[in-house]
Amino acid sequence: MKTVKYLLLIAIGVFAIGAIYVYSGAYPMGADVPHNRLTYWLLETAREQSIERASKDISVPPLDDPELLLAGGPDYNDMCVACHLKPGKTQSDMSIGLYPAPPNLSKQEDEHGHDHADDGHGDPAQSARRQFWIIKHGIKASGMPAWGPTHDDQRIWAMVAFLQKLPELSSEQYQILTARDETNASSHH
Amino acid sequence: MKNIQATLYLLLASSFFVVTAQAHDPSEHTAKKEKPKCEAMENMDHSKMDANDPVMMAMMKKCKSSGSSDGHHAEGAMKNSVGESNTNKAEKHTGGHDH
Repeated sequence: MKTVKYLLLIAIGVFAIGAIYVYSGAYPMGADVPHNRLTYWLLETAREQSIERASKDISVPPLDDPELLLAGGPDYNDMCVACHLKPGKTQSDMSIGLYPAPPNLSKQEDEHGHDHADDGHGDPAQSARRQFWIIKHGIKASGMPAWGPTHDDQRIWAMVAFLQKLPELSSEQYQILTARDETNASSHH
Repeated sequence: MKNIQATLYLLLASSFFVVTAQAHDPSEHTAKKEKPKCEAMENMDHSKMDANDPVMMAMMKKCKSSGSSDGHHAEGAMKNSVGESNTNKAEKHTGGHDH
């Protein structure tokens, strides 16, 4: 019985200290000050576990259709490139200023420059499921918006198809695939 | 007077909804017109290109549909290179074996 009392007191004490810390405003919230290791691990782990769980039942359509690349490329260039960069561009104001730093999607997953618990390494289907889910739902407090409310699934899959090819593209190929000239803008959407 | 005010408020509110609904309409992006630089395809190493690669097919399609004459040049170059590489393969094949 005494043990239970002690444990209860310890739990209440920890909770009280936590509450005092939160309300004191001592935790640095600026994006230019990195999280401490514990907070980073907690957020990273919670994020990756959540995405993996939420995306596991998504069925991936064939992504090799050139039309998907032509539809997804211009959308990527309009909506994502400022943060996630493109071939030949290694940084931008957004990629430097955001915290956590957005991954450079023009590089292979293992070169993104930050750690993932599991982002589908070696499994293109898992990688596609993950990308689809993230584009559609966004990620809280990361700067990644949910595009689902304004973009249908087909359009999001087109972006995923483009993302799957993006690390292999040269800057010339990227320009051709993402240029949204008048003819293409009307014919592909 | 009240009716005019109410109508103005209503118009303002409805215009907000119209703008919101079109915020992510694809036509919004037409402001950022940019021609694909298809002439770059001519300078690419065609021997390393695969005509069945979705990226290559998409580029060909884009350059064709953009109405660029460069696209047709690039397409011709691509076909020639594929033709050449097939011929080279055949030459290598017959050179390596006696049939």
